[in-house]
Amino acid sequence: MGSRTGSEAPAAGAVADQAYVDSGVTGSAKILVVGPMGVGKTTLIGTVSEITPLSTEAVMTRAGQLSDRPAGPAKTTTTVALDFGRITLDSDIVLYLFGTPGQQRFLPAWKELARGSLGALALVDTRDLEASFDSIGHLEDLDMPFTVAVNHFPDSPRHGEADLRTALDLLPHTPLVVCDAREHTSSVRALISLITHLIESATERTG
Amino acid sequence: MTWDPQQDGSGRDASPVRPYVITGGRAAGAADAEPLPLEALVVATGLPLPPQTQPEYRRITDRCRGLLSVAEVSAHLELSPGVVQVLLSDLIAAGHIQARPPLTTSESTAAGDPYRDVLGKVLHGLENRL
Repeated sequence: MGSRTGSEAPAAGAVADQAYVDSGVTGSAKILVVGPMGVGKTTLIGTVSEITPLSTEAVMTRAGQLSDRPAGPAKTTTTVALDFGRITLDSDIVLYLFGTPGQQRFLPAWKELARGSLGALALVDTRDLEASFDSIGHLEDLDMPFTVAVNHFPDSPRHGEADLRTALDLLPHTPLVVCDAREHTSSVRALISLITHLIESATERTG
Repeated sequence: MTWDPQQDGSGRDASPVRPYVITGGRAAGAADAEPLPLEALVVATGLPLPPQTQPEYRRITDRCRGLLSVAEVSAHLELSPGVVQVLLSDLIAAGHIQARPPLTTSESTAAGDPYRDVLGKVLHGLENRL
Protein backbone atom coordinates (compact mmCIF):
# COMPACT_ATOMS: atom_id res chain seq x y z
CA MET A 1 0.00 0.00 0.00
CA GLY A 2 2.65 2.49 1.05
CA SER A 3 0.11 5.25 1.08
CA ARG A 4 2.49 7.36 3.13
CA THR A 5 5.22 7.56 0.51
CA GLY A 6 5.09 10.78 -1.42
CA SER A 7 1.80 11.61 0.17
CA GLU A 8 2.76 15.08 1.29
CA ALA A 9 1.78 16.71 -1.98
CA PRO A 10 -1.96 17.52 -1.93
CA ALA A 11 -2.48 20.11 0.77
CA ALA A 12 -5.58 19.77 2.88
CA GLY A 13 -8.44 22.02 2.00
CA ALA A 14 -8.41 22.47 -1.75
CA VAL A 15 -10.87 20.16 -3.43
CA ALA A 16 -12.02 20.68 -6.96
CA ASP A 17 -15.78 21.11 -7.13
CA GLN A 18 -16.15 18.20 -9.52
CA ALA A 19 -14.69 15.93 -6.85
CA TYR A 20 -17.94 16.27 -4.93
CA VAL A 21 -21.05 14.27 -5.62
CA ASP A 22 -23.80 16.43 -7.11
CA SER A 23 -25.87 17.87 -4.29
CA GLY A 24 -29.07 16.65 -5.97
CA VAL A 25 -28.07 13.03 -5.48
CA THR A 26 -30.41 11.32 -3.06
CA GLY A 27 -28.62 8.05 -2.47
CA SER A 28 -25.85 5.67 -3.34
CA ALA A 29 -25.39 2.05 -4.28
CA LYS A 30 -22.41 -0.16 -5.01
CA ILE A 31 -21.28 -2.91 -7.31
CA LEU A 32 -18.20 -5.06 -6.89
CA VAL A 33 -15.83 -5.62 -9.80
CA VAL A 34 -13.94 -8.78 -8.99
CA GLY A 35 -11.19 -10.83 -10.58
CA PRO A 36 -7.52 -11.72 -10.42
CA MET A 37 -4.73 -9.16 -10.60
CA GLY A 38 -4.17 -7.78 -14.08
CA VAL A 39 -7.58 -8.80 -15.41
CA GLY A 40 -8.62 -5.18 -15.98
CA LYS A 41 -10.68 -4.26 -12.93
CA THR A 42 -9.15 -0.82 -12.51
CA THR A 43 -9.20 -0.25 -16.27
CA LEU A 44 -12.93 -0.92 -16.41
CA ILE A 45 -13.61 1.21 -13.34
CA GLY A 46 -11.56 4.06 -14.84
CA THR A 47 -13.35 3.75 -18.18
CA VAL A 48 -16.81 4.26 -16.71
CA SER A 49 -15.98 6.43 -13.68
CA GLU A 50 -16.53 10.18 -13.65
CA ILE A 51 -13.61 10.59 -11.23
CA THR A 52 -10.08 9.29 -11.56
CA PRO A 53 -10.18 5.98 -9.70
CA LEU A 54 -9.20 6.37 -6.07
CA SER A 55 -7.73 3.86 -3.73
CA THR A 56 -8.68 2.95 -0.21
CA GLU A 57 -8.44 -0.17 1.84
CA ALA A 58 -10.82 -2.85 2.88
CA VAL A 59 -10.27 -3.77 6.46
CA MET A 60 -10.43 -7.44 7.20
CA THR A 61 -11.66 -7.85 10.71
CA ARG A 62 -12.44 -11.00 12.55
CA ALA A 63 -15.83 -10.61 14.12
CA GLY A 64 -16.05 -10.78 17.86
CA GLN A 65 -12.37 -10.44 18.53
CA LEU A 66 -12.15 -6.70 18.71
CA SER A 67 -14.26 -5.59 21.63
CA ASP A 68 -12.90 -5.07 25.11
CA ARG A 69 -9.33 -5.40 24.04
CA PRO A 70 -7.59 -2.08 23.53
CA ALA A 71 -4.66 -3.71 21.79
CA GLY A 72 -6.93 -5.76 19.60
CA PRO A 73 -7.52 -3.85 16.39
CA ALA A 74 -3.93 -3.67 15.22
CA LYS A 75 -3.53 -7.39 15.72
CA THR A 76 -6.74 -8.69 14.27
CA THR A 77 -7.13 -6.52 11.19
CA THR A 78 -5.25 -6.55 7.94
CA THR A 79 -6.03 -4.53 4.88
CA VAL A 80 -6.27 -4.94 1.15
CA ALA A 81 -6.09 -2.16 -1.42
CA LEU A 82 -9.37 -1.34 -3.15
CA ASP A 83 -9.62 0.81 -6.24
CA PHE A 84 -12.95 2.47 -6.78
CA GLY A 85 -14.76 4.90 -9.02
CA ARG A 86 -18.23 6.38 -9.27
CA ILE A 87 -20.93 7.20 -11.81
CA THR A 88 -23.78 9.62 -11.18
CA LEU A 89 -26.92 8.28 -12.82
CA ASP A 90 -29.77 10.56 -13.88
CA SER A 91 -28.34 13.15 -11.40
CA ASP A 92 -30.17 11.20 -8.72
CA ILE A 93 -28.22 8.09 -7.74
CA VAL A 94 -24.48 7.67 -7.45
CA LEU A 95 -23.17 4.21 -8.21
CA TYR A 96 -19.83 3.17 -6.73
CA LEU A 97 -17.72 0.46 -8.31
CA PHE A 98 -15.26 -1.27 -6.01
CA GLY A 99 -12.47 -3.36 -7.52
CA THR A 100 -11.84 -6.33 -5.32
CA PRO A 101 -8.88 -8.69 -5.69
CA GLY A 102 -9.81 -12.30 -6.10
CA GLN A 103 -7.26 -14.34 -4.26
CA GLN A 104 -8.35 -16.69 -1.52
CA ARG A 105 -6.68 -14.72 1.25
CA PHE A 106 -8.82 -11.67 0.52
CA LEU A 107 -12.11 -13.42 1.15
CA PRO A 108 -12.70 -11.82 4.58
CA ALA A 109 -12.61 -8.37 2.95
CA TRP A 110 -15.30 -9.47 0.53
CA LYS A 111 -17.76 -10.29 3.26
CA GLU A 112 -17.63 -6.75 4.53
CA LEU A 113 -17.89 -5.27 1.04
CA ALA A 114 -20.61 -7.64 -0.03
CA ARG A 115 -23.04 -6.20 2.51
CA GLY A 116 -25.49 -4.01 0.62
CA SER A 117 -23.87 -4.61 -2.78
CA LEU A 118 -26.27 -4.84 -5.70
CA GLY A 119 -24.16 -7.57 -7.26
CA ALA A 120 -20.81 -8.20 -8.89
CA LEU A 121 -19.15 -8.14 -12.27
CA ALA A 122 -16.60 -10.97 -12.44
CA LEU A 123 -13.88 -10.17 -14.94
CA VAL A 124 -12.20 -13.05 -16.72
CA ASP A 125 -9.10 -13.17 -18.90
CA THR A 126 -9.38 -16.15 -21.24
CA ARG A 127 -5.57 -16.37 -21.42
CA ASP A 128 -5.66 -17.49 -17.80
CA LEU A 129 -9.09 -18.83 -16.90
CA GLU A 130 -7.84 -20.60 -13.82
CA ALA A 131 -6.91 -17.30 -12.18
CA SER A 132 -10.63 -16.43 -12.05
CA PHE A 133 -11.77 -19.59 -10.30
CA ASP A 134 -11.29 -18.14 -6.79
CA SER A 135 -13.34 -15.00 -7.50
CA ILE A 136 -16.22 -16.89 -9.03
CA GLY A 137 -16.13 -19.42 -6.21
CA HIS A 138 -16.26 -16.64 -3.60
CA LEU A 139 -19.28 -15.03 -5.26
CA GLU A 140 -21.12 -18.33 -5.27
CA ASP A 141 -20.18 -18.95 -1.62
CA LEU A 142 -21.45 -15.49 -0.66
CA ASP A 143 -24.63 -16.09 -2.67
CA MET A 144 -24.03 -12.84 -4.51
CA PRO A 145 -25.61 -12.58 -7.96
CA PHE A 146 -23.06 -11.83 -10.69
CA THR A 147 -22.37 -11.60 -14.37
CA VAL A 148 -19.16 -12.87 -15.94
CA ALA A 149 -17.50 -10.40 -18.30
CA VAL A 150 -14.69 -11.72 -20.45
CA ASN A 151 -12.26 -8.85 -20.87
CA HIS A 152 -11.08 -9.34 -24.41
CA PHE A 153 -7.39 -8.72 -24.99
CA PRO A 154 -5.93 -8.51 -28.51
CA ASP A 155 -4.20 -11.87 -28.12
CA SER A 156 -7.03 -13.58 -26.27
CA PRO A 157 -7.82 -16.98 -27.73
CA ARG A 158 -11.34 -17.29 -29.14
CA HIS A 159 -13.50 -19.69 -27.18
CA GLY A 160 -17.08 -20.64 -27.77
CA GLU A 161 -19.49 -19.58 -25.05
CA ALA A 162 -20.34 -23.18 -24.20
CA ASP A 163 -16.67 -24.06 -23.75
CA LEU A 164 -16.11 -21.06 -21.50
CA ARG A 165 -19.14 -21.89 -19.41
CA THR A 166 -17.93 -25.42 -18.95
CA ALA A 167 -14.39 -24.31 -18.14
CA LEU A 168 -15.64 -21.80 -15.57
CA ASP A 169 -18.30 -24.21 -14.29
CA LEU A 170 -21.00 -21.51 -14.50
CA LEU A 171 -24.58 -22.11 -13.50
CA PRO A 172 -26.95 -21.93 -16.48
CA HIS A 173 -28.56 -18.65 -15.34
CA THR A 174 -25.28 -16.76 -14.86
CA PRO A 175 -24.84 -14.37 -17.80
CA LEU A 176 -21.59 -14.39 -19.74
CA VAL A 177 -20.66 -11.35 -21.84
CA VAL A 178 -17.57 -10.22 -23.70
CA CYS A 179 -16.29 -6.70 -23.16
CA ASP A 180 -13.34 -4.43 -23.74
CA ALA A 181 -12.59 -2.78 -20.41
CA ARG A 182 -10.88 0.12 -22.24
CA GLU A 183 -14.07 1.03 -24.07
CA HIS A 184 -16.80 3.06 -22.42
CA THR A 185 -19.80 1.69 -24.27
CA SER A 186 -18.58 -1.88 -23.99
CA SER A 187 -17.98 -1.54 -20.25
CA VAL A 188 -21.34 0.16 -19.63
CA ARG A 189 -23.01 -2.67 -21.59
CA ALA A 190 -21.36 -5.21 -19.29
CA LEU A 191 -22.79 -3.34 -16.29
CA ILE A 192 -26.22 -3.21 -17.93
CA SER A 193 -26.06 -6.95 -18.45
CA LEU A 194 -25.32 -7.38 -14.74
CA ILE A 195 -28.19 -5.10 -13.63
CA THR A 196 -30.62 -6.81 -16.00
CA HIS A 197 -29.61 -10.13 -14.48
CA LEU A 198 -30.08 -8.74 -10.96
CA ILE A 199 -33.58 -7.55 -11.83
CA GLU A 200 -34.44 -10.97 -13.23
CA SER A 201 -33.05 -12.74 -10.16
CA ALA A 202 -34.92 -10.40 -7.80
CA THR A 203 -38.13 -11.03 -9.71
CA GLU A 204 -37.66 -14.79 -9.50
CA ARG A 205 -36.94 -14.61 -5.80
CA THR A 206 -39.91 -12.55 -4.79
CA GLY A 207 -42.40 -13.56 -7.47
CA MET B 1 13.73 4.01 6.51
CA THR B 2 13.95 6.65 9.21
CA TRP B 3 11.63 9.56 9.54
CA ASP B 4 12.37 12.67 11.52
CA PRO B 5 9.47 15.04 12.05
CA GLN B 6 11.91 17.89 12.61
CA GLN B 7 13.30 17.50 9.11
CA ASP B 8 10.08 16.81 7.35
CA GLY B 9 10.17 20.35 6.02
CA SER B 10 6.65 20.21 4.66
CA GLY B 11 5.38 22.45 7.42
CA ARG B 12 2.36 20.20 7.65
CA ASP B 13 1.19 18.45 10.69
CA ALA B 14 2.35 15.03 9.52
CA SER B 15 1.17 13.22 12.57
CA PRO B 16 3.27 10.21 13.54
CA VAL B 17 0.34 8.88 15.54
CA ARG B 18 -0.74 5.37 14.70
CA PRO B 19 -4.26 5.24 13.28
CA TYR B 20 -6.10 3.68 16.17
CA VAL B 21 -4.58 6.12 18.62
CA ILE B 22 -6.60 8.80 16.82
CA THR B 23 -9.78 6.87 17.52
CA GLY B 24 -8.87 6.02 21.10
CA GLY B 25 -8.39 2.38 20.23
CA ARG B 26 -11.84 1.99 18.76
CA ALA B 27 -12.34 0.08 15.54
CA ALA B 28 -15.36 0.51 13.32
CA GLY B 29 -17.98 -2.06 14.10
CA ALA B 30 -16.17 -3.20 17.21
CA ALA B 31 -19.03 -2.15 19.42
CA ASP B 32 -22.75 -2.49 18.79
CA ALA B 33 -23.32 -0.36 15.70
CA GLU B 34 -22.48 -1.52 12.19
CA PRO B 35 -19.84 0.66 10.53
CA LEU B 36 -21.00 3.20 7.97
CA PRO B 37 -20.82 1.49 4.59
CA LEU B 38 -18.02 2.71 2.30
CA GLU B 39 -20.57 3.95 -0.23
CA ALA B 40 -22.64 5.93 2.32
CA LEU B 41 -22.68 9.64 1.48
CA VAL B 42 -21.67 12.21 4.05
CA VAL B 43 -21.69 16.01 4.17
CA ALA B 44 -20.78 18.59 6.80
CA THR B 45 -23.73 20.31 8.43
CA GLY B 46 -21.77 23.53 8.96
CA LEU B 47 -22.13 23.40 12.74
CA PRO B 48 -18.80 24.85 13.98
CA LEU B 49 -16.43 22.48 15.78
CA PRO B 50 -15.31 23.40 19.28
CA PRO B 51 -11.85 25.07 19.28
CA GLN B 52 -10.06 22.17 20.96
CA THR B 53 -11.25 19.56 18.45
CA GLN B 54 -8.69 16.97 17.35
CA PRO B 55 -7.25 17.92 13.93
CA GLU B 56 -8.48 14.74 12.22
CA TYR B 57 -12.09 15.68 12.95
CA ARG B 58 -11.47 19.10 11.45
CA ARG B 59 -9.83 17.60 8.36
CA ILE B 60 -12.94 15.51 7.83
CA THR B 61 -15.46 18.34 8.22
CA ASP B 62 -13.27 20.57 5.98
CA ARG B 63 -13.21 17.89 3.31
CA CYS B 64 -16.95 17.25 3.56
CA ARG B 65 -18.08 20.70 2.37
CA GLY B 66 -19.83 18.80 -0.40
CA LEU B 67 -21.24 15.27 -0.64
CA LEU B 68 -18.67 12.47 -0.62
CA SER B 69 -18.76 8.77 0.11
CA VAL B 70 -16.99 7.35 3.14
CA ALA B 71 -14.56 5.67 0.71
CA GLU B 72 -13.72 9.02 -0.91
CA VAL B 73 -13.16 10.72 2.44
CA SER B 74 -10.80 7.89 3.32
CA ALA B 75 -8.93 8.08 0.00
CA HIS B 76 -8.70 11.89 -0.04
CA LEU B 77 -7.39 12.12 3.50
CA GLU B 78 -5.27 8.97 3.28
CA LEU B 79 -6.82 7.64 6.44
CA SER B 80 -7.89 4.02 6.68
CA PRO B 81 -11.65 3.51 6.24
CA GLY B 82 -11.82 1.97 9.71
CA VAL B 83 -10.55 5.18 11.26
CA VAL B 84 -12.73 7.38 9.05
CA GLN B 85 -15.81 5.33 9.94
CA VAL B 86 -15.22 5.83 13.66
CA LEU B 87 -14.49 9.56 13.37
CA LEU B 88 -17.50 10.09 11.11
CA SER B 89 -19.76 8.31 13.58
CA ASP B 90 -18.56 10.67 16.31
CA LEU B 91 -19.16 13.68 14.06
CA ILE B 92 -22.63 12.42 13.14
CA ALA B 93 -23.47 11.91 16.81
CA ALA B 94 -22.32 15.46 17.57
CA GLY B 95 -24.31 16.93 14.67
CA HIS B 96 -21.35 18.01 12.52
CA ILE B 97 -21.89 15.50 9.73
CA GLN B 98 -25.04 14.29 8.10
CA ALA B 99 -25.05 10.85 6.47
CA ARG B 100 -27.23 9.52 3.68
CA PRO B 101 -27.27 5.78 4.04
CA PRO B 102 -27.03 3.69 0.86
CA LEU B 103 -30.23 2.95 -1.02
CA THR B 104 -29.71 -0.73 -0.44
CA THR B 105 -28.88 -2.27 2.87
CA SER B 106 -28.46 -5.96 3.53
CA GLU B 107 -32.12 -6.10 4.57
CA SER B 108 -33.49 -4.44 1.47
CA THR B 109 -31.28 -6.61 -0.73
CA ALA B 110 -32.96 -9.65 0.74
CA ALA B 111 -36.43 -8.15 0.91
CA GLY B 112 -37.31 -7.38 -2.67
CA ASP B 113 -39.17 -4.25 -3.62
CA PRO B 114 -36.89 -1.36 -2.55
CA TYR B 115 -34.02 -3.28 -4.06
CA ARG B 116 -35.83 -3.80 -7.34
CA ASP B 117 -36.74 -0.14 -7.41
CA VAL B 118 -33.09 0.85 -7.08
CA LEU B 119 -32.06 -1.65 -9.74
CA GLY B 120 -34.62 -0.19 -12.12
CA LYS B 121 -33.24 3.30 -11.59
CA VAL B 122 -29.64 2.13 -11.99
CA LEU B 123 -30.55 0.34 -15.21
CA HIS B 124 -32.25 3.44 -16.58
CA GLY B 125 -29.28 5.60 -15.63
CA LEU B 126 -26.76 3.25 -17.24
CA GLU B 127 -28.79 3.05 -20.44
CA ASN B 128 -28.67 6.84 -20.61
CA ARG B 129 -24.90 6.57 -20.47
CA LEU B 130 -24.66 4.59 -23.69
